[in-house]
Amino acid sequence: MIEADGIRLMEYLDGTLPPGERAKVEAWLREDPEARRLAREHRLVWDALGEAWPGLDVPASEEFRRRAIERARDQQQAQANAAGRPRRSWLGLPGRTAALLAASVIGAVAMFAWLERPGASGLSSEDREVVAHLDLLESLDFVDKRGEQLDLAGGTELLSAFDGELPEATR
Amino acid sequence: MRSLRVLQLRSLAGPLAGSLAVLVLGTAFVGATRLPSAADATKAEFVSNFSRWASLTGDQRNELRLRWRDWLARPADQRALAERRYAVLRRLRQRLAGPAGAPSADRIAAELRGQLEGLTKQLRDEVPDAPTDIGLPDAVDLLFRVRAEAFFDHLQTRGRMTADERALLLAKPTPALADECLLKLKDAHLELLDEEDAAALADSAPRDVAARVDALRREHGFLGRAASERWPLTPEERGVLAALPTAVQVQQSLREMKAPAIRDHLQARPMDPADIELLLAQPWDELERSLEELLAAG
Repeated sequence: MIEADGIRLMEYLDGTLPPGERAKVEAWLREDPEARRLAREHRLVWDALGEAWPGLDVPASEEFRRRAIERARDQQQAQANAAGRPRRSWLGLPGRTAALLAASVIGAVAMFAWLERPGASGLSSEDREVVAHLDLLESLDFVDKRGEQLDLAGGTELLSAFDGELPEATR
Repeated sequence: MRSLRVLQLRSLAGPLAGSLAVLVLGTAFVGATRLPSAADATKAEFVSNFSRWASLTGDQRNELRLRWRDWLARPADQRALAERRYAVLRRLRQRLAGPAGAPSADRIAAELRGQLEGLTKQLRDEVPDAPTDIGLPDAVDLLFRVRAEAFFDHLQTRGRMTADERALLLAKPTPALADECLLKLKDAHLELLDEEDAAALADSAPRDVAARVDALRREHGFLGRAASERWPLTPEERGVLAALPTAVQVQQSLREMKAPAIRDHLQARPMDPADIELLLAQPWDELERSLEELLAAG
């Protein structure tokens, strides 16, 4: 039994529960012998207190009751959170960091070994050459079609490289 | 409960990020070590090519495989010729590439037409008595030999070439002469560049070095470190150079931009005004070398 159930029971004995909640507690008391035992104990304590301080008549504080219920609910929530939280690894943060890094290195090495294995499914030797010369192959039409123009452009390039050697007067 | 989960996730975020980093590095390592050692494709190019390859359809891939087989079936000399032409195309594309990326085939074709028209005009201007029926390939040879002789003159004047070596080289056919000249020009450029740039270009083909040198001049002005630091380019000057179509126009524009400041500096050393004018009238490459030597001398 959690503490909130005990508080509900006290509210029931105190007569402060709304009718709907009261009916639920009565149903619970009918079904649960543990609840009935607790209710008996509460009643004994309350009766004893009444005999010891018969003249003491403290009016019920709504504010106190509300805060008590809220505290109980907060505790209940904290207990539920604690139950759902994963256990902390014995490795701790540095240990987990090292483990993750080590796993990554192993993964990278494994990938390298897999790609380098004999018969790896990479480019074929012909495709490697095609990729290496891709720009040449794609330019061949232009090169073949304008071969003579490119020869002359190469000549112009050569002249340009040595233009700086000529005296100004000859240009 | 939700806040508890958040806390649990936070406690795992560090290890997860570390693990992901290890996985990414591992995958990159795997990818890098699996690249083929194709002689004429760098790993970066291969990765870029592979990305494109992965986006192609099966039919497109088959078409490329057929082209590769056709390519291998070509005679070796035809393949070498096509590779030379392709190298020119690549440099042209690199030069014409803008913020939007690689130029279109139409843009490249227009550039080629423009270059041929320019070549015809250049021949008329530089060699007015050239035969009227001369073909453009012969015109290129003629124009190149003029430049090679001027280049060798400079080397000989500076004691870097003997008269015999000069005569021997000029007797070679033009393609062989061009190779020799480009190698010597590459050496001269590497001497002017700072160590980092020179090391980066040491293994590059001479024409690639020439293209890089042009790009560096557009960015920094003078090729030599001392001169480029003494007379740096302003953003406006850099903008003007970037818009110029040819390397020689860049050199001419640089000369006009920087001549007044150079003149002031040399007069203050002091230097005779007539000598200053002679120095400034040198060909651009010679001017760069002279300025670097003067600044190094203090």
